[in-house]
Amino acid sequence: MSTAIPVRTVCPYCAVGCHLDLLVENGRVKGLEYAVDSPVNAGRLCAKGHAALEILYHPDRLQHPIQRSPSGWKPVSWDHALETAAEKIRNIVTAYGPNALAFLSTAKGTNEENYLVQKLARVVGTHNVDHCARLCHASTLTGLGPMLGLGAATNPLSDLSQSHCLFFVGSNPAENHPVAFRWVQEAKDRGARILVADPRRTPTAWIADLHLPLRPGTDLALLAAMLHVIFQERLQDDAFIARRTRGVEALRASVKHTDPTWAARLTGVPARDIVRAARMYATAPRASLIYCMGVTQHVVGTETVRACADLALVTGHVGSLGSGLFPVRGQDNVQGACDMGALSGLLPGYRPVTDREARAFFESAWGLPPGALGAAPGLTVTEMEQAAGRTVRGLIAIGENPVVTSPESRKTRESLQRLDFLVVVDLFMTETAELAHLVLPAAAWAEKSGSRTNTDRRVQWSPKAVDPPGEARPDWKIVIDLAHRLGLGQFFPYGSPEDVLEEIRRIVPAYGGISAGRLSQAAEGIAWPCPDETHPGTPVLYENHFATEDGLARLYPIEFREPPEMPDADFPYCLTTGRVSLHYNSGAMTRRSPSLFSRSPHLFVEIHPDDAAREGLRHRDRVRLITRRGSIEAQAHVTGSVCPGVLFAPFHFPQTNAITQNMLDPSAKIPEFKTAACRLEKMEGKGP
Amino acid sequence: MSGFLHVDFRRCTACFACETACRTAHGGGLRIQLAFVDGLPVPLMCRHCEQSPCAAVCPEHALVWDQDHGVTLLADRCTRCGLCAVACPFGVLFVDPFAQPSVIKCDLCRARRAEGKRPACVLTCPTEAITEEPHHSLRRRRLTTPVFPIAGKPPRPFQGGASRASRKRNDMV
Repeated sequence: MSTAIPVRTVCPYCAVGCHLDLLVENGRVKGLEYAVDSPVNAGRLCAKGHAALEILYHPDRLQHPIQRSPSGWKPVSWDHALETAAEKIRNIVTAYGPNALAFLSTAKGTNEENYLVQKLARVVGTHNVDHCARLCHASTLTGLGPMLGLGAATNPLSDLSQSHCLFFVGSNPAENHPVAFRWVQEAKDRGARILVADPRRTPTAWIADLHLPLRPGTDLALLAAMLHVIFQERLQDDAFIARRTRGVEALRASVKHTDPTWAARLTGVPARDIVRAARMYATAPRASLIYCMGVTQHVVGTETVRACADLALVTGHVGSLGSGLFPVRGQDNVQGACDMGALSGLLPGYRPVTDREARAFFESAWGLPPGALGAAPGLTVTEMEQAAGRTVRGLIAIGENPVVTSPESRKTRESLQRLDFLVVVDLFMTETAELAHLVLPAAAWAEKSGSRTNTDRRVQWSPKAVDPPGEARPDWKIVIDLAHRLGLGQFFPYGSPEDVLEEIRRIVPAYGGISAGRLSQAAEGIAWPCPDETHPGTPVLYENHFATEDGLARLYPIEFREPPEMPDADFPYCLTTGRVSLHYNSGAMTRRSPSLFSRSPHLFVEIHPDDAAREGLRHRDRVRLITRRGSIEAQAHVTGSVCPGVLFAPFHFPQTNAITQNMLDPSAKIPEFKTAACRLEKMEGKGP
Repeated sequence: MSGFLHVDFRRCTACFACETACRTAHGGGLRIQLAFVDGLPVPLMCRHCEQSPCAAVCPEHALVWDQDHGVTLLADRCTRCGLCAVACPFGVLFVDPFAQPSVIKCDLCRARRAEGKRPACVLTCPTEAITEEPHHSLRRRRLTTPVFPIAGKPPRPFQGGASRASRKRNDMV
């Protein structure tokens, strides 16, 4: 061990961005050391962080490019693979135009890689580039963007420990961001009040002073009623509203009739508790509102995000230490992928493609002829999948697994099979890769260097520790090589991720002062906006003014709508989906980690004891879950932690999304993952 | 014994970090595990009892209580009879007929502590549910922390930080 050199990398899992010290000896990672001196996690790691090495040296890692042939998968050389890909792409562009191509970028890639993928798509001539933020926090961008100026967390997560009141709406950091939960526990130790609005009594709710177990999809009613109480009891911060916001009268009028009795009927939460929650949140000197996918993954996602921001703004809980809005991101670099413009409607730095000036800026910056960038936004993740095999003929999917992660996934699978050409770049043979024509082996986090942006907007540099296995290559190299084969080499003159970051600094003002040299020196990274080399970064946003044109935040009126599919006589339960602490997103990594998978090997469905008794179910019985879109099998977990009438299933297993709804939020295009009318059938035997 | 693993069940969030950390530090075998009672997690590991039942039943005196390391296995005496596993009231000790060492139980990360590091589960627990505490601080905790807090009395008040009024003044400036 003595000769092993520790290399400090950033954990590849959630968006907390913990440091992971890898002990490297003779070009191999020998073990893991706790980063005790790290200002981010101080040595702490969650179960997934510990299991990260199991991914690095997993026997199933793809090591060579493989191509589908009539006799099965055939290993091919990189030359052949890239030439095939380039030829197919050229053919599709010639036959159908560039908009017949679509690119799925990845929140698991670095900022540089995401920048390159979206640049390649746009240089080829299409805005059809998107990534999984569309499935998690797209409504944060469309909701918070127009209100506050930026669709990102206003404060670092460590600020949670400074709050007097923490209000979690559809967020469960105890399971999904375990290391960040220490700041919640710290706040609790100091006497802070914890409010949790969640249909389940999650581990976060275990320490809640007040748990509001609302029906899935009714968050908007709850927030509207809380605003009603705040205005009714004059708990709002009038000075803050007058000085820093616009549109309060419209908001006040829209919540005039949304009283707690009305909300109690819709949400199932007692009116008394809604009043208590509103008082606790509004009267706390410093309060934080933390929301996640329980808010965003609805057809009213954008409106609910806006209601969260309304609540924070009218009480003045934005823009200071310990007071903020926290849309906590799920993946290590989903924030960065959004910043880099890997989104169909946004260019790097959140410049909309519909903005003529922005297009002209990027055309001149990238050396494209004027008018080369289209004015219409491209297709989003779900739209690409619907158009696959119709208007979209070729798909390049990097580190994405839509067959597991997209709603109504059986349809996704069928449409991906209709494609003329599907390339998948991934670590493993995922469910999506099995449908591909060409699969390229990618490098994992420790096998490439680059910057990643965590949920605090903190950019951290993660250096390369070891070489990738076999012939696997980092995504940035694959994209650059592919661009060169496509004859676009003049737009991609980069030799390393550092070169790409230099270009990002010139193009994205918020990253202006974030150089690779500075990042490798900064122990906890630099929070954007950081416009120049001497700027220390901006951990807390909006301290003096908002990032809107006039510096004032906009308040939006609230209009409640019910979820599109309500339980009825045929489908009496509401199925909601979410995460568990031992698995991660599509499960491509965690279902292959023995130490994680052995503890959580089955798809299960949580059911309330009353419902279980009515259905004649006992713990661990096999059940069939049926929605209007199909049926899946799971193991019943009878637990009082879900509300009666609600079923909960984790989405880390390929089956779950086969039965979720493919209804989209009209502005964010995020699917309604969190509600689906469902019925249960008992099956013979125990366990799946 | 230099330290004692104090477990505060109320802080545990069932994140399984301790289990995976223990496996990373020691290799296979369950030395710490989360048991669930009514859906709530209870991390269990060897309590290093002073008059330990496992040591008492061991016919070969292979398990001994040691001032520095708690209940320790003397591997060359062990015949893998398994009586200790039966005797353990917490069910946190296993005998593997083939593995070396034969008795799988928490050793308070003896190897890590020899290098001056804290036990893996203590270091990694995100919410400090597992802490390594010297005897005197545990003794003090017994004296100061009420077992049954007086009903209706709020917990310790928030320490530090400005009041709402002073924050407002700062905003104005």
